[in-house]
Amino acid sequence: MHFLRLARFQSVSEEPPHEPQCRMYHDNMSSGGAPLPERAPFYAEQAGECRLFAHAFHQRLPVLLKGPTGCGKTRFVEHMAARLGRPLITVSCHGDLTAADLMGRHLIDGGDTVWHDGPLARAVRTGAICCLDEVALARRDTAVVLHPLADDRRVLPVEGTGELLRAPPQFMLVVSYSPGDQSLLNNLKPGTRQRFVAIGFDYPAPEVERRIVEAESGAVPALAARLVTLAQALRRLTGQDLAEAASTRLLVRAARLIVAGLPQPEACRAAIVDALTDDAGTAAALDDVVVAVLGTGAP
Amino acid sequence: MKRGIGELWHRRITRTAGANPHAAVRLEDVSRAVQMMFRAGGGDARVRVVPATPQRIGGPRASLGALDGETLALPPVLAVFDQPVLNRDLYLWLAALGACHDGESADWIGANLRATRRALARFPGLRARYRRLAEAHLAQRPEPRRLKPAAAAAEHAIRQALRATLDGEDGDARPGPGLQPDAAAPVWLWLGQALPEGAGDPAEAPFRAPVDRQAHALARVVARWTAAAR
Repeated sequence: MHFLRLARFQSVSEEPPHEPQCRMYHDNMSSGGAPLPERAPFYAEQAGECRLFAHAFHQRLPVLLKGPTGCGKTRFVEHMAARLGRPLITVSCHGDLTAADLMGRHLIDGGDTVWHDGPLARAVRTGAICCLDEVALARRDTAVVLHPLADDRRVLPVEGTGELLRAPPQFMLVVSYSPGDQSLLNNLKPGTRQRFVAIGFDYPAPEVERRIVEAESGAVPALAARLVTLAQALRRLTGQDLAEAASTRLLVRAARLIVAGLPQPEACRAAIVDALTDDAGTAAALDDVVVAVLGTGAP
Repeated sequence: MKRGIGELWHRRITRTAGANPHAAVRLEDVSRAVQMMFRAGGGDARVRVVPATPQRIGGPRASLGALDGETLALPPVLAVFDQPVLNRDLYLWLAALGACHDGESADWIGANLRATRRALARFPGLRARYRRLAEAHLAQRPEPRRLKPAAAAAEHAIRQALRATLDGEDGDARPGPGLQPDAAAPVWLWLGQALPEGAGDPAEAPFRAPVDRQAHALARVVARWTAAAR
């Protein structure tokens, strides 16, 4: 299980995210107008975002999730899809993703030309939640298909079949992006942004992040707390020494390696330091910070 | 001329950095790590790490760490301990300490004790290294009984404060709250008072002492003339 499911378009996930190996979490903090199923993926709510998302779902409003990479946006959608009892189709957008990729295309099948729905059309037909990760990375023509689906019309014109798909009440469009990435800021136009209810994310508060690391990795509380302290130290370097902040996802991966038996400095080098920088001098200095926070001891 | 000045400067900083030139570590070789440790510890991102200039601290001139609102001045070379790894650890410790230090304070010992506690809480992985550094430093400090009474009292207060950090005590009951850095032998694990503006520029340092001496000599001559005129 990954803290964030990363699915490229070619391998779109289309199932309620019920993962047998997922650690369950019953959090009294969880709010949100939707029951918490036994097998919902772990998610630690921070500021009432579950309630907001549930209201948006019932009001048939599309949602835009914005926050730094690795802070839990995709996991949040997986969690909410399970709570709302809807299948989830996740698309990781990239620079070559076109509207046709989302809508579908005709393919040769046994000598015939057969229409195959793309993930967005499939989500509309089936009443699923469709999440477009890092939507601003997609090519601009995708906005053409998103706009009528994201406003009151809730329709998807499928050019290839001549259909006008009307989204059922259970359908929900979710897009996410990381505002820190300048290449994304340039692409997400106000006309697109203003069609969505926005939910802002940031890295969790230390106590919440500690529980996330514990739950996701099986780390003992002391180790999880030390890793969160490390993350706080590394995040102070963002913008001056590091282009990106150390994410919760990186902490979880380091914790899993440590729990599996890897020495702490080695695990942190592989899961955190080398993920944050390619510069040898910066990496060596980060190693010093890692040891200063965690020490060199065994897990 | 330039070469001569360079050699003079090299001899100066080597002499003031400590007694173990074979184990010397240069600030320029660890500056990246020092700066990032300082910022990771919560130090102001605008503060620059610069080489400190020598001051007369309890004996010969020495370059000690100091923090003000713009610079964290650290010795250009550290050869305090006989192992390079300890001298490198000392640089990192001073960076961590600087990140947790309030800056100038009338209570020099108290400010360093508070900063030490914060730094060890923020960087728990430094505790073992700090203990090694503090024990090694305590072992090389002068014996109070061989000092004059005032210096012995200052040394006693410093030793008590350093041991308090090793014993996990808060050290608030220590004597000598008004003690200043120049009253005792250098405490390499602590930061002193901030240096004057521009004091961190090593290019100026070789000239500062002679200029100071000339100024003092001129002042003495003026004083003698004034006295004679009366």
